[in-house]
Amino acid sequence: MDAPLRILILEDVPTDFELIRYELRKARLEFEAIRVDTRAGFIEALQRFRPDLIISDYTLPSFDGLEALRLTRAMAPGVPFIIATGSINEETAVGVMKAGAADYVIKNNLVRIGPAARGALERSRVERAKEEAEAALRKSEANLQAIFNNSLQGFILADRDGSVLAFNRTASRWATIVAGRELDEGLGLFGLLAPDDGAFLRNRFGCALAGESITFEREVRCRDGAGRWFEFSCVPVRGGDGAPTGVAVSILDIDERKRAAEALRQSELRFRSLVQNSSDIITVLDLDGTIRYASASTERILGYPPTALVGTNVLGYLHPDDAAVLLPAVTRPPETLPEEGRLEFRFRHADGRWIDLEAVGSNRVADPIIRGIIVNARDVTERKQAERQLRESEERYRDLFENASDLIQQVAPDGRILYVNPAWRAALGYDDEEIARLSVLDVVHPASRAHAETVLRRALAGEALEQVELMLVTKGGRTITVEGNLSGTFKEGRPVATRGIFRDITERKRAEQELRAFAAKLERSNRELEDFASVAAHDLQEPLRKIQAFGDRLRASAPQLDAQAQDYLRRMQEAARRMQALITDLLSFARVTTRGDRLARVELDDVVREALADLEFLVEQCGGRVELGPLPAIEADPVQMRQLFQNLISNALKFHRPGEPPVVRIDSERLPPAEGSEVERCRIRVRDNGIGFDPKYVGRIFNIFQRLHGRGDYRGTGVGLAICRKIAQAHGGDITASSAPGEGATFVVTLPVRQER
Amino acid sequence: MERRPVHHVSLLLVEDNPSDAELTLRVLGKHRLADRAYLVRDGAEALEFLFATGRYASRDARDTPRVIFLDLKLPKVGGLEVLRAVRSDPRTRMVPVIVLTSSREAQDIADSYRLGVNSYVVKPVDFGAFERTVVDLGRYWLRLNEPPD
Amino acid sequence: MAGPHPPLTILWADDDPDDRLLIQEVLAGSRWRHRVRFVEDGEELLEYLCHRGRYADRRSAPRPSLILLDLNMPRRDGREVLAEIKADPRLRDIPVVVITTSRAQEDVDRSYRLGVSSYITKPASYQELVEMLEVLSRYWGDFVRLPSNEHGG
Repeated sequence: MDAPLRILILEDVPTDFELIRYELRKARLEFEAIRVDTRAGFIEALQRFRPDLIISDYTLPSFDGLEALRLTRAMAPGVPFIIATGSINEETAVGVMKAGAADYVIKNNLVRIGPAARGALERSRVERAKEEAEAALRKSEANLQAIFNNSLQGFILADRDGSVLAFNRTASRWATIVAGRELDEGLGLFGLLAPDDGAFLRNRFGCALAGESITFEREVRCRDGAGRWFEFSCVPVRGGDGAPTGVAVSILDIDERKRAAEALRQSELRFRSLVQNSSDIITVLDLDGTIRYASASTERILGYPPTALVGTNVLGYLHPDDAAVLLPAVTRPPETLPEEGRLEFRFRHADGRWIDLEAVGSNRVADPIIRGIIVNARDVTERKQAERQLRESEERYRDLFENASDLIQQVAPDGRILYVNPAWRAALGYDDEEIARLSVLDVVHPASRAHAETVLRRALAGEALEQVELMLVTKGGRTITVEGNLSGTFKEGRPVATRGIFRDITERKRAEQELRAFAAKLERSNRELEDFASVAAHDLQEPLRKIQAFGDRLRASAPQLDAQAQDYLRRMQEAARRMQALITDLLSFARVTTRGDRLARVELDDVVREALADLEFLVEQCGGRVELGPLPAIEADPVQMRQLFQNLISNALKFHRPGEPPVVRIDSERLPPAEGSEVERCRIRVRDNGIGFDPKYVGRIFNIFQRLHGRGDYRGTGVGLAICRKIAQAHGGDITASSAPGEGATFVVTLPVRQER
Repeated sequence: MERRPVHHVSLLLVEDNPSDAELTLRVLGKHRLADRAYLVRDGAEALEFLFATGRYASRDARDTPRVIFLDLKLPKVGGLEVLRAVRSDPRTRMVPVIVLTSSREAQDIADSYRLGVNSYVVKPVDFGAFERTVVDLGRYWLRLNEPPD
Repeated sequence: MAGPHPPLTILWADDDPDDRLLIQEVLAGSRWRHRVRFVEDGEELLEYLCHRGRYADRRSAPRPSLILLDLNMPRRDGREVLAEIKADPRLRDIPVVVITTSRAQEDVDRSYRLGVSSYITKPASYQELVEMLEVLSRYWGDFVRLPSNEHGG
């Protein structure tokens, strides 16, 4: 022992105290001892002196040993207590030992005090060690229990049959996830699982019972139908004889880990396929241009498998012009190279073609792993080709633009003028220097500005506008009107300019305007004429009607009038009648100003038959005949068509040769469209066997009030054919006539089958 | 402006009695009044003709007759129903309709005028009177009267 | 046929004195058996029909069975008066025949739209006038059944 033993001795007799000390020294104990003989002193010594051993007299004047023993047990348990007394009977001795004394010594035999003290101390030490060991064990068990219970790993202890003997909370939770129930002692482990999972676990369990420790991962089908990954360990539990009595199963939920790993694997797969199938070429170059790595895509794009490229120098494949450009980059000190650079170059394909590559190089020289340049390249051959063609075409166009008479302009989205052709400069009078400072809106007339802004915005939004009409102001202040097309030019989806091609239509506009004004005037005048005609119809006819009626009355009421007076009266009435006919025909003529508002599909067969029905009396009267061939259906004003044919037929009947009944033949044929039109036409001929007319009058017979014969020979106002011509022309057709005296006349009407609107 | 409308059919005669129909058309023909007259035998056919449906789907309903002579006692669709239909369609609303019937009942006369008939004429029983009536009707409506468009 | 109907009272509106003279001559010279009353413009026509002014005495203005109406008249013209007659429930049953010099289709169509029974243009000659009046007389006087005079005179 390191420190001397502290021995408390309860002894009222000092010599006995000395004797005990003597004997203890004889027994070679190293100690210091104090003596107390009162209760208070004993208690104080227990607290202050803290003895390793107590030797107590059995009887003391104010105290006794048993009381001291009791106090010791309470205040300093574990401190061995030896009774040293003058006399003690067997009964007392047993009682003392029972009360917890370590030993007792008779004072006559104090020689035994040494071994007794040693023995008591030894026993006490053993006892204390045991207690400590037990406490440690208890603590350790508690820890283990806590670990067992709180572990994220599930533990199940099962017997040879797989019945659960013990389990922790995690294991019970696992059972809840997998089987929808908690674990219980005695529960069959395999039955918790889906049949194939249960069989699999039973198999592994068997291996463990055979003495093998097994760890495996398995996706277990849970009650909710989903699969979940767990890691299982089956470790044999051995009994006293070393033979396995059961299996400890530990379970770890690795689902998330597994799924993450699976996702990673998939993503890797994808990425790998992306790289391998990518149209991009990925290479790693050394600083001198040696290819250290090439992706699989090189074979497809460049015709070389990666193995053929690796180890060779990239400069050897490049177009000489491009290599010359690249060379400085390769030979520059690496620190001066930019971190990233974009290059375009031509690479010779294994078959000798030049492949246009667009590449991005990343300087990774400083990267200790790469120590090179990563080059991502893309085949842009088609694009370059298109660009070359575009450039060539643009050059061609530029040539065209420069010589075009149209005004061509290219304007930036902000209105700056990027390009105008010479015709534009000439029309607006600005020179290049001034144009550079102009916004396109500066040359737009204020009245046109809002419209210009709108169309420019629409063109920039992707619309192709046609027939855009704008008023521009020249440098000299003259206003010109232009009309043309406007569209946007786009680069990578963003508008970069508008392109406009315009034609100076100032003159045309002026002509149009004059024409419009003229048309309006004409229309007004026509309307006035119609109004006039309408008024005339009523107001001019009224007096004539009266002349007629009172003339009748005069003749009826004055039979005594002589023949001359009767004749005057007759002439007066005849004149009134003629005047009436003239007015009626004039009105009809005035009415045919347009083709009418009643365009419809007209069966000319029907129209002619109806006209003939109205002329039936006339036909009968002159004993004539009308022969009708098939006629087409056309789009026309039905009323006017009827009037046209009625006039033509009655005309043909009227001018028959005296004594020879008239024969009128009507036929038709189809004609191709007239020049500048797409509408087919038809030609209708009305032929008669009448008196005909001298061809020199052909230009006059369609004029209004034109009569070739005296009134006495053939009645009529000379309006009918004029109306025919007007109707034909109102329908976009015409009428002609041919004849020779005595040979009959032929009238030819040409009409489009459809009316253009 | 003055403008003469075209009526491809001058008269639509709605008459189920064959002898009355024949006599009417013959008398009109004799006086040159029957050109483009058209006969239908019942009210249903009259409506099909006027509105260009059924058997007359290829007609143009805007091409109205100049005048309609309408019997009242007709099979299938009665004369008053025909009159009501004619007066309620904008295409035929203005066409003159003359009821020509043997009925002299005050109710028929009142109904016809209420539905907008232009005039109501009772067929004379006597042959000669019937002929004179038809001629006057024809002269009045096919010669004297100006038809609407 | 139950013989001729009783004579009709016909109200004729025409502003043209010549025409009125001619018509009266025709009537006087024929077997015309109907009573014809002339008014000279639209306003007078309405005064007659509504018993106003000089026609305040109902006996002086018996309800006509037929109105013959010129269109172009001073004061109130025929178109206006026609619309008024056809809008008046007491008068709308009286048949109105337009007799005018206007052949304008617009006038014809408008008249039918307003509810005339017939539209006749004035003939040019005296003989035609005679024929027209004969047809008119026989048509409206003899065989047309007019609506009953349910609103009284």
